[in-house]
Amino acid sequence: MNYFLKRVLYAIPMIIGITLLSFIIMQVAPGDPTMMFTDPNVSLEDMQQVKANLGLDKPIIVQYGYWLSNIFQGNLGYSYKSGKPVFDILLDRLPATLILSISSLFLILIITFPLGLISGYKKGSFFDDFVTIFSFFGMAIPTFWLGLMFILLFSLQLNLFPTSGFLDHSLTNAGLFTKALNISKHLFLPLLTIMVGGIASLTRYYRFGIISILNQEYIKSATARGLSEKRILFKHAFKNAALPIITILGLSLPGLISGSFIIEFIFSWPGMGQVGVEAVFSRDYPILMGAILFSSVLIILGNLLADVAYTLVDPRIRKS
Amino acid sequence: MIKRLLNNYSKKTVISILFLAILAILAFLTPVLFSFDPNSIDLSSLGEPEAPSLRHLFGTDDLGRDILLRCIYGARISLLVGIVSVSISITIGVLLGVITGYLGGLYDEIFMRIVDIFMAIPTLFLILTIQIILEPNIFNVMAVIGITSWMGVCRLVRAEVLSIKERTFVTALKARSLNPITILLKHILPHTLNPVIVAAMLGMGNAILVESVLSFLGLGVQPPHASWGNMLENSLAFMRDAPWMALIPGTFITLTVLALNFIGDDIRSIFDPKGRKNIC
Amino acid sequence: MLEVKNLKTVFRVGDKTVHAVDDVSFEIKEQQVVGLVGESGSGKSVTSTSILNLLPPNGEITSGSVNFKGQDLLSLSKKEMRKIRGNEIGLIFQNPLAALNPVFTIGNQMIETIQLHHKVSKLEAEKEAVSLLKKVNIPDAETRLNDYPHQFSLGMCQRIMIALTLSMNPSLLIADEPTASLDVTIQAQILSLLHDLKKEFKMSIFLISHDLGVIAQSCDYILVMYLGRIVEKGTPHQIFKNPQHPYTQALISSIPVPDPDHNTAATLLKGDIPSPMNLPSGCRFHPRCPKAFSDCSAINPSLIKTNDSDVACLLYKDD
Repeated sequence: MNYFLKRVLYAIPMIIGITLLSFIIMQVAPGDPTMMFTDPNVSLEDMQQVKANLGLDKPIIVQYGYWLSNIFQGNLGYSYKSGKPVFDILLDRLPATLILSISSLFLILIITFPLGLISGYKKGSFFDDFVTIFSFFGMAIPTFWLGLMFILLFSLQLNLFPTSGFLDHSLTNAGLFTKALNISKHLFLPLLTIMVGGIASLTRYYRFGIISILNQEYIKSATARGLSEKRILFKHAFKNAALPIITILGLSLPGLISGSFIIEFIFSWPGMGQVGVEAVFSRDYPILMGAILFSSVLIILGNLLADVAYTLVDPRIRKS
Repeated sequence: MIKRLLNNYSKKTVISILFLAILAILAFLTPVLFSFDPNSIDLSSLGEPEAPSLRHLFGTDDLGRDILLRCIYGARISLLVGIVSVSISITIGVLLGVITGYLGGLYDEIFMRIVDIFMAIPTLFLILTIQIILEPNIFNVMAVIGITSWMGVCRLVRAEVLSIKERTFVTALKARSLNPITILLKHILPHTLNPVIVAAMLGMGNAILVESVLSFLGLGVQPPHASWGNMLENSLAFMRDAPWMALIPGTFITLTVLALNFIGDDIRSIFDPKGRKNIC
Repeated sequence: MLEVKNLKTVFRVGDKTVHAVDDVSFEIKEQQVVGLVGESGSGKSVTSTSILNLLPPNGEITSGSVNFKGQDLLSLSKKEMRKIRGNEIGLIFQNPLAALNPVFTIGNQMIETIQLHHKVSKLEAEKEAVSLLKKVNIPDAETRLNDYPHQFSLGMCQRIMIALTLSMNPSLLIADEPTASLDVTIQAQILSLLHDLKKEFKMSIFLISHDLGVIAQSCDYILVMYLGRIVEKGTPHQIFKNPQHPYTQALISSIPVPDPDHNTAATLLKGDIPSPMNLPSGCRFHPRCPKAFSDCSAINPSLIKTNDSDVACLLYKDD
């Protein structure tokens, strides 16, 4: 528990650090920061008042204080483009992002474990060579291009899946099942694209873990006690090799999220990433800043979760 | 070290090195030796991309420009981005890693928390934001990728320095009251070389990928200058009718990154004592 | 009970072949303790892993036979071999902490093993585990069943390893450097524990060590190994009172005697043990042998019987 508490305490300065970084970028960014925090419908006279309220005549460190207190009250500012509050816009997009990222994470793990296990166990076999080549290609292919290639193949050539979007407009009032089916159809290609890269790199790690664990003395000892290969592999090697994957997963979260943002954009998947990338084009700094803050906090929470999960499953940390 | 490399390389590394060498030679010599213009417009196929043929090996784009030639010019950008940005990130990473690892203690504790903050930000978004604040040109791309991707190297070097400075031979050097700077530079730093080389190889691949995303989003190399990323952006409108416009540049990116990863992986497995086959 | 004949084990490293065990023959009788002594890299552990067929993928037994209670172990199928492992032959290791899986409790690992070899319920297996732990002198056995390996000291881990192995009731226990990683006082405890358990469980022990002291205390018969070959074998009396092979002589003279007046200089061996990748010609010991003569670099001697022990050295003629 002590360890857990320490982790939580670590997260707080990290979040503050990220807000500081965001604040600095906002200061450097062109445009009047007042604009960002103000409802665009207020009149010009009120603007002066707002400036004073925001403390823009005060030293920069005080400004940061005001800004931070705004952030913690859920005021991430207003979009330059649509004038809507950034927090609402992003919150609105969160479900789509979560659907995509959680389902991809889940599927990546489900596929990685058996793939890496067998590949590591049958090291040097045809299957292992195949998995290794797949891993290397999966890590080298630019995700966004892979997405384009999938669209080219599955949508334009074979006409199997829609090229983009979340739900067909005609189905807005359809039954839940029809809707879910339609969303899944839209989900398939972006999901597949994200999975390729994720599976490629995780399998590589897991395979390596399995290989090094199969060389450990306790595996030899278990074999010497007459345990079957199946049992050794699926009980003893599986768990030991799976533990570091939790940490690696936590560490690769920023990459996975960055990757999925571009994918959301390519497939017009209405998540945070899509608004984020579109904000890049329209130079909508408040939205960009909000997206960075949001995703950073998600990443920190994910890391925290990974840490906690690790302490729960690894006896060496838990009990020492 | 070089001898060990020469004795243990694998076939895939030889092919990778050959591929990269040919690519680099083509990329840097073509503009010098020949007078092809990658931006020259073939009027006969203007407006309608031409499929691959003997005249244009990989076809042409919508303006009738030869895709192979543009890919070769794009390679120049990508290789340059890889080399320059990795040089920047390695320099920063090694410097900070050595200092924090050597000082250790509270300083190290605080500094590593700062590194954690940088690592928690989805780097791509940070890069995109900085790119739109700055002018989107190739030099900014290199600099921004460089200064946002030093954290991995820094942690690697720090961990290595932390463990090496506890080793007995360092204590022995201190006992001979050698200058700490000398100990650090001459006796500790060389030990971090192998992991840093591996990180550099993988980092180059990553930088090339990031550059392609930036150019694809219009925040990197600006047209009419060719880069693999902006060729892909250009291909979007012609996906159905001219798939080769998307296919070719992406293949170039993939193969280049693949080659760098292969080389990095080979260096790692040769130098990593844990990865070596145990004899008895 | 166990008869190893002309065993040859090689490892393939790159395109080179390493002869780790070369033409080794010996025998272990019922309830006998046989010791195998040699420097690190001499092929001791490979000999033990060859018996149980636990070689890594690049290792291969090229010839010879391992006869255990009338069965040739080398010709058994994987499934038949699994029955022998544990049930008949148990193996304990140099580093007991490494030999236990760190992420499962010792109770979990013991119960798993007991249930594998005996058809008993989980509860019965747990009881059996507790009684075994008590036999190897683990205090609070009931509660410590739920602990993980890293929560025990090394000496305790070795006791647990022994209990784990005994739970299968083997008739032969192979102990590969069981005390090398332990403190001297703990070493003595483990050795005497093994001695007691040998009587209680009526088993034979194949004790492997680089330490002649350990071997001297506890063995009925001793094999001396150098670079994959047995250079001398005999009873402790023969080996210690009248060692024949120059290597054995050097080993024995290098045992420190805790007596300040004892000043006989040890026979110092020249140089290091050569790499098994690059074996010397003729007798493998000749580059380091103080008594080497010209024939030694040409002829590789085999074991011959003398009045005392069996020895593989050209200084001795077959009777």
